[in-house]
Amino acid sequence: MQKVLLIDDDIELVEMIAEYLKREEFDVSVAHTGHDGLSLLKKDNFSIVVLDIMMPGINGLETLAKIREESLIPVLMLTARGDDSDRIIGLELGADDYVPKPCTPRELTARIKAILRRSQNSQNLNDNNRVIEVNQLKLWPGKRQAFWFDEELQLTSSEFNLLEVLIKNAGKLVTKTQLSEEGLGHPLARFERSIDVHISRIRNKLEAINHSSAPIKTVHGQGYLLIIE
Amino acid sequence: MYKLFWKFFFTIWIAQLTTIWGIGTAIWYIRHHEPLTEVNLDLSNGASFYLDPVVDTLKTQGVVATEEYLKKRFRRIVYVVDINNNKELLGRKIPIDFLELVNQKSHTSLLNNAIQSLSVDGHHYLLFVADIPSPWRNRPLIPVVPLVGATLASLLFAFILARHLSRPIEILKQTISQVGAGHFNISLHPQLVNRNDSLGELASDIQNMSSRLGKLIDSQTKLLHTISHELRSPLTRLQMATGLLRQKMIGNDDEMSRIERECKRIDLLIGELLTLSKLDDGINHLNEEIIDLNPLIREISDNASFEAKSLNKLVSLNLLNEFIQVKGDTSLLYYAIENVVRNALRHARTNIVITVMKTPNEKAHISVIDDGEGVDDSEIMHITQPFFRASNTLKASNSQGFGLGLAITYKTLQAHNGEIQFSNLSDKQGFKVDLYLPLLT
Repeated sequence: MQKVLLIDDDIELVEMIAEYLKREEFDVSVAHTGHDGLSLLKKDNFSIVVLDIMMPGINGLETLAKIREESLIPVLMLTARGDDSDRIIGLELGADDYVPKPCTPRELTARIKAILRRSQNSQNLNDNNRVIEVNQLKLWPGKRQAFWFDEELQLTSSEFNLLEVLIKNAGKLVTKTQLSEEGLGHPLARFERSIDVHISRIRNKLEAINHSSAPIKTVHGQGYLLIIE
Repeated sequence: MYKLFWKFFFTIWIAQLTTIWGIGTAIWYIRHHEPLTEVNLDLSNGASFYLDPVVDTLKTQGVVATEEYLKKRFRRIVYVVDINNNKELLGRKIPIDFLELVNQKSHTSLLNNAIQSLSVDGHHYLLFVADIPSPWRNRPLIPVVPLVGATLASLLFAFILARHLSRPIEILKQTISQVGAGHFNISLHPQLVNRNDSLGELASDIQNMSSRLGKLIDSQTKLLHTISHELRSPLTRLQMATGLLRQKMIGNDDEMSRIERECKRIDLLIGELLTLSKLDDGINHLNEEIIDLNPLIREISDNASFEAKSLNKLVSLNLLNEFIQVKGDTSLLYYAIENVVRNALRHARTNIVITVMKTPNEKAHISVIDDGEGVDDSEIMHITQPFFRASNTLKASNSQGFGLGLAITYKTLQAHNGEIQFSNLSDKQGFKVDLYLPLLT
């Protein structure tokens, strides 16, 4: 059973989500504050964190930042619908994806499953040692590891998936729609910026290792392209 | 805008001129139409001092020489009158009454020779010393210099006074139109507010009123925002609960689907209310991006076409074959234009035509025409009000909206310095919406 950690200050809501997820065969733990969530996270091994961004006290964004200091565990944010700024900041801090509130439990579950499937899918494949290599960039989809100039990249699940889509299509334009569907597991919403935020984080991580510019090119208004040199 | 100033100016000036001229004329009239009396006649001994040389001249040298002499020396005070025809030697006019007075006095003043009579060549002359004011004295009838001076002075004062009155009113007028346009944060010049008169009081009242209005509207917007926001928590729980219920339920239930659908509608409504309050809050909150209108409108049109097929309607799109760029918030503008297209789709019989053009004055012009019944002329001006629904919308069974769509469109266009116009085609043959947005230059 996949272990899910729910962090949300709405006690009744969390109860219901937990019940729903349990019926969907998840092992659910619950925390009502960022602090509780962080300490639970240290004690146990979770597959995914579902984090409400709009919490009082140390709020969701701070909690997210603290989580990212320690681990690359997949994080799904719950954000207010229509509040772009929180969502963008969350993605910039390294959240894997988001679900706008209010949402139906079905939507939430689908999003969780999509992230989990993509963060683990390759492990089930036989070709654990298959490697994709373009220029100085190496990806082991089976091990979910990526190297750039022989140094390992610390990527979140979504970042890895997106980089994987790009490297598989190296030298070709990959549209945002394709990136969203193949990398994040859901269709691109209108005016969606999350792909751009994820790509910009990947670029920063590449550039942190090698100062020469990252090999990902933006094709304005259309998508992205991994350059083959 | 200076209309008021000129009104004040001319009113004050004409009033001043009338007063000056009136009083001037009155004084002139009184001064010159007072009957001449003894006071005007010099009956003292000194009079002969003036008269004697004239009498001598008249006696010895005749009339013509006397005229010359008078012109030279005593033009002002010495009068020589021919008694037979009452003509003065130099032609100066003398009132008859006064001449009679002089005649009477001549008998009593013989002693000191203040009035003298003399006969030369059969003419009897009366000589006397008097102060006879103009017009008897041939002074210019209109006093040019004082009048011009007074006119210039009145021009100056009329200008100052008119300015003093009209300037604050102009400022207040501009301020009030600012308030009317929704800028409640006005600051009037302290000099105006501290004026110690009704205009000063008016100014400070307007300032108070507008700041109070601003606060009221602000708190109303905040309240709307907060309510909408707070409604979301229970709605989330409600959706969660229905989801849970459905999970536990076996089979499908119509009522369940209806509850879910209504939840979605409430969610949509809250979303629209939040958008509206964001727009009310002002332009500062908008994301400003450069937007290519053509792909944006093509996407809206494609989506509408897709829906139109199932309704047996047709959407046609006429794009301009050049870049049309505007600046603004992409999602808001998309939503604004989509609203108009969706309305058209809902009301059209069969055809919707979307056309993108450029106006000569550097604006993007998007027109959306449907061939539906149109809107009652009396209702057109209300259709941008929140929650307003035209009477023919109620009839439509597939009505999905809350009456917020066009309000959002209107406010979005306003926030982007654009314009929106609605018009019925003739004979209820359709409805036309024109959207204008300033082009990026």
